[in-house]
Amino acid sequence: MKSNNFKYSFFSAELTLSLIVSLLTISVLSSSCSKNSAAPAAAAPTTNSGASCTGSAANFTGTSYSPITTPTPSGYNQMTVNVDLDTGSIPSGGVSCGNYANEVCVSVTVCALDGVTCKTIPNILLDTGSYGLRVFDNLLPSGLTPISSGGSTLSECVLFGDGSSEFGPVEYAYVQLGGEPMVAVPILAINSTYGTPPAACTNSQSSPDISPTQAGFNGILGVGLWAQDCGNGLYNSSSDGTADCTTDSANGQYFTCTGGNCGCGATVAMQAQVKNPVASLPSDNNGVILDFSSTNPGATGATNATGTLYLGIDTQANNASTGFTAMPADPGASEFFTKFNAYSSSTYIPAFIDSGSSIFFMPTVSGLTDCSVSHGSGWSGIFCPGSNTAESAVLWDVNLGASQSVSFHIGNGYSLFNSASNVFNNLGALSGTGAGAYFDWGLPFFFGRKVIVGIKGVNDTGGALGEGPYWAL
Amino acid sequence: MVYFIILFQIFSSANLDFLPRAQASLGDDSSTVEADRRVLRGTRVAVVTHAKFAVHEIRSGGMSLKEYAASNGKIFAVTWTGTHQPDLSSIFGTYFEDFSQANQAAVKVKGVRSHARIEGKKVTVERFGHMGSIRGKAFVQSLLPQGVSLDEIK
Repeated sequence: MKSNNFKYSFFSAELTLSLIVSLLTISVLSSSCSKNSAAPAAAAPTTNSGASCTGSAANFTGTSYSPITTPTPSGYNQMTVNVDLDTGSIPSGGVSCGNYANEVCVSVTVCALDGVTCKTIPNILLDTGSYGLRVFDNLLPSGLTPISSGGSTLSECVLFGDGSSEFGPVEYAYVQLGGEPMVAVPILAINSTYGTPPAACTNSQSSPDISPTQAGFNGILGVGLWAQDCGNGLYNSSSDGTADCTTDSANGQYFTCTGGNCGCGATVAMQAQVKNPVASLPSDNNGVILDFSSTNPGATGATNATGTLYLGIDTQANNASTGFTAMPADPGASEFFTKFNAYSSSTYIPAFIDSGSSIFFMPTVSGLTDCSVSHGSGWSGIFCPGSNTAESAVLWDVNLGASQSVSFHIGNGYSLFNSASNVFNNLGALSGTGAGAYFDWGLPFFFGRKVIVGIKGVNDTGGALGEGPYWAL
Repeated sequence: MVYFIILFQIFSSANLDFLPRAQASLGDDSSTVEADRRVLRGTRVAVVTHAKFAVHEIRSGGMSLKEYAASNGKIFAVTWTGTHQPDLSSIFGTYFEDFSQANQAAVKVKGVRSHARIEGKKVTVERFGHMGSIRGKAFVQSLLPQGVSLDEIK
């Protein structure tokens, strides 16, 4: 709980006073903007910072569109999921699935709002650690609908845990998952040259991802615990500690683009925020089940693997939750806890389950030698134990109610990465140290089991898992 | 303490108009925290004082940025947590170039899109998390006050 405490204290009486203070400060500053902008620019000319935003922040309200119902064949609520194996023929400008180890891919059909100008895009990273669909602009069908306000369009910069980022315009598209009805949702058309990105994006590491070749995927389908990728700062009626993108233009995520300059923060109504398309489905909308129960790469890895993504939980015969235990997550950070048995055994460390992380990111313990010891500093952080090492941990829900024991192995990362295999259940690397320790249960965790992802604020009405956000095992 | 912050903000905002735009933090004096607050368009909370350092916190749009100042006022570490990350070039100040060079020099191993931990010549940066919950820590080892453990930087 320690690491999440600050989130719950955001909206305190102290903050109310601070807001008043802030307003006072703004009024003092307002007359000085021209002076500041006339001074020699402190920032590099190719970046924007909030301070250089001189226009008024736009508010994007968006529009609502109805689903397009298509014939629903048997098993229409499931999608094939491949690891390091193409999910379709590669379009021009796109990449294969398997640019790196443990890359998990699906195909998604994206259409313009006419419902007929469509493209099916293969090799999109399936990511339970993010929310919403993001596809490189050059692979999308033409004629998607930008979200605009006055003369400005809406753009987004999203950051991932590894410091990488995606930038581009937010546009409405019809999205089809498996054989489900097509639903209109805002998606991110990844395009690093769409205007001048905000500094939050360009200075996070080097620059936003520029192409499928550089990123290693054609897009990312985020089917994690949230229905949209920002929200309104509320879980039911109380604060969840996350940003309120509907009223706060300093959310650091959404930006208004005017004349090619995307430096000003934007407020965005819920229906205009990039949305987890699962949450928009007419009926199978309470979460997903990712099933790799028949995959076992063993100690030396496998060439590729295939699994199934079921849309909805307890909504159909094929997505029953019988026998699963719900493990609620914190509605703000969307994390729960892990006790890693060999590591400071009295400590509950923050944890999450993320198919988009290709390996386990975790604290180090005795026996997990760092690869840099034998293979140079470039391999720093990756574990290279002498043999395939057995480890164990206990997952705990955020309220320390339900728990589940997990056994796993960590193998020699240098040998595995340099082998002919691509699919591994035993790759690990160092997460934060000391008070920054965390456990990211990456794709290796999914092999040999089914994992249920319950979306925040939605009930498992047909079953016993309760209200999301939760993972169930 | 709250009244102090009000006075401090009005006073410093008015005066900063006549000074060069200071946005750096790591290695600078804690008085630059206010410049960061302006860049972030955030709000400040009361300074928390520990035996060997003080923590200055700025909150902005679902993100919390903490700057750790030694008793001589010098900022030796920063941490962030929340839905997004601050502009690191602003927060790292003169140490950003050190971070950038180390980041670009880090060997990219297939399957690991970026290293979670970057060690520059002077600054060490750890980043982790997932969309909606991004965290990071950066510290300058040579500025770390004697007797302060890295575990105290949270």
